[in-house]
Amino acid sequence: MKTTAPLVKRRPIIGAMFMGAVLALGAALWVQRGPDLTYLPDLAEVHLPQGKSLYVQVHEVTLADWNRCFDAGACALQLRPPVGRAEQSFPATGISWIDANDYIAWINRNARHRFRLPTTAEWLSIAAEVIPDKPVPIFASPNLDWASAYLIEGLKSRRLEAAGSYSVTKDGVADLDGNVWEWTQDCFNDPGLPSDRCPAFYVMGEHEAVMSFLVRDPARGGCAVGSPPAHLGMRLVTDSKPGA
Amino acid sequence: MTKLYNPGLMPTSRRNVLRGTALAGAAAFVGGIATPAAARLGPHARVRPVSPMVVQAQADAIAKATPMDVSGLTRVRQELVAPPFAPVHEQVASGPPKIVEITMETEERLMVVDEDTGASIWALTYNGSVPGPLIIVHQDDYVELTLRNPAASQMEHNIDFHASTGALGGGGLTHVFPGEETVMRWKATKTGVFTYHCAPGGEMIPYHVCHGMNGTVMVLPRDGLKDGDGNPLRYDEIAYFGEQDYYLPKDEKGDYKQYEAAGDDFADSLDAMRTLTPTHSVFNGAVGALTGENALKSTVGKTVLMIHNQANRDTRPHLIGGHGNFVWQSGKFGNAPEVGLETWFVRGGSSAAAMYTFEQPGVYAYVNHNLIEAALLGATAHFVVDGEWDNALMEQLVPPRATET
Repeated sequence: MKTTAPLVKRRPIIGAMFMGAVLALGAALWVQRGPDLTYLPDLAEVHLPQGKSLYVQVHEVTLADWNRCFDAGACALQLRPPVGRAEQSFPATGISWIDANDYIAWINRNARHRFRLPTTAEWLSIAAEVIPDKPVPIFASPNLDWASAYLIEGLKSRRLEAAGSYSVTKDGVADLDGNVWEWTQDCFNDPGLPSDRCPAFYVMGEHEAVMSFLVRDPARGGCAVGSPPAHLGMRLVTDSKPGA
Repeated sequence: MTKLYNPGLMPTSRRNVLRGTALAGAAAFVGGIATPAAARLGPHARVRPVSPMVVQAQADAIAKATPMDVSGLTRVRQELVAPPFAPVHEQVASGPPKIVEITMETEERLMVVDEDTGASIWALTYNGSVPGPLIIVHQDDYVELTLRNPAASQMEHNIDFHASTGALGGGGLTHVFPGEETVMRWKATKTGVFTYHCAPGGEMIPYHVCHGMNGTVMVLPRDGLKDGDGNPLRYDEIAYFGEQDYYLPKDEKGDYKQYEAAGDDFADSLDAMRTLTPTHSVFNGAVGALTGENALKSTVGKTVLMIHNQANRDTRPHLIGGHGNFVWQSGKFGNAPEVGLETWFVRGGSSAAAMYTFEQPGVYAYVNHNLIEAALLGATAHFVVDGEWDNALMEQLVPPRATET
């Protein structure tokens, strides 16, 4: 982070404080504005059904990725690996929709490229081959719709695993079938609602879930009797190949 | 749940230190038959400084007591099962009082308390489960317990039955060190659901209880349960909930600490327990142990007896979407059950019983209705109930729709 700091000082008012040579260098970088490779995640190209390509982060955002954002003062949370583990290669979890968007704003500023969260439709296309069929509802009666998403079998262990512990799609996208649910940009029940007015977004994993934008840890139980996700994380997508 | 068994097969210096602690603790809590126990212990045991007069008085009293002739009583063996289930039993006793033989083995095992965070504990258990198994007898039966502590254990254990009479609930007669076993018989004179727990002495008492060593014994009236008017009450199934408050030590970063063997967390645990603020409050030993794949199953029309044990701390069970039709809050069947309750109170150090007949299918959450504990600390279980929906009881007339503006 510290070694790349001069690159991000691109505001003229700050640049003016430097000697002429530094100013000239800064101006040159400003003009070039190519993506900053030190911030670009590994991406896999996925062909969507409509014939369009989407560039999808191979792994979920990891602790190492996330804590760069924290160190830069742009993300509120400092994340740590699970108890007894030291690896920074675990997915970043315990993040709300707001946290996820803080991260996106930071990485877009630094990578000089536009990343975003996927839509539910995009996520389902990316993950189709590794996601199991929708389970048969445990209750068939329409009166029991409210309880029918409860899962009593086929649940994955909730223990967090390092990135790369689950399946990889033929396009090369990993861990879509893991126990981290990924935030999408889709507002529950009302796609037309501006995102800053949306109370809950879809999160995608082995089953679809809906989560308040504030929730970091989808606590089990209480009145929420569905099968809440184990962990909340995120994966970046982008519509254009960086640098192309 | 991870099943890692205590690897500490050989005596270590740490274990000797712990033994010393256990003994010092036991000494602080006057009880036990100190002299013979100490004599068995060998070189690393400290003799408990219990007043010789007290010890002598108890030993004398036991020696003078008339031996009990139980030769005329029928013996039956009760095979204990892991919670949330109940052992095979009769609701109405057939025949005269019996001797019910049970065996409990103490087991110190590493258990995951919360898979999400990896929080774990070297649980101290009876028969490997938190809570310990449910024991069911009838009034005037005798419980004949064999308590065994395997040589692989790190610690001393014993048992205090709140349902029993004398010797600190049996705690004074049942101290077993690793590699020992003991047999004790007690008469079930009072009816109800009662807590039992380990109580080795001093600060070891809350340490063992807060590491899982507690459970329920149910003493049924010989002619079964009754409502306030004396009408018989029968159940189709039992759901046995042990609510366990854990106080897991954290490191300076706030992460849960891990330990190599049972007892290694002793000093840290006492500090955490002193806050009186549990890090977890769970049913069946772990967060989510009775949800999802392990949710309890029932059917509309079935009557369930929900037995709730909390050996240490007050709690307030509530069945979301249902009720307590007949509730013995204090857990004692000599009192008429309260009827139609929404939430009931379980005093720390007791068990309670609540009976309910399911009227609607769906998912019910059984929670500690301190909802912070239910949702954040783990005190939630689920019932999945089959059957036909009854619109007379509830009907959705307008599904959520946009309000007119």
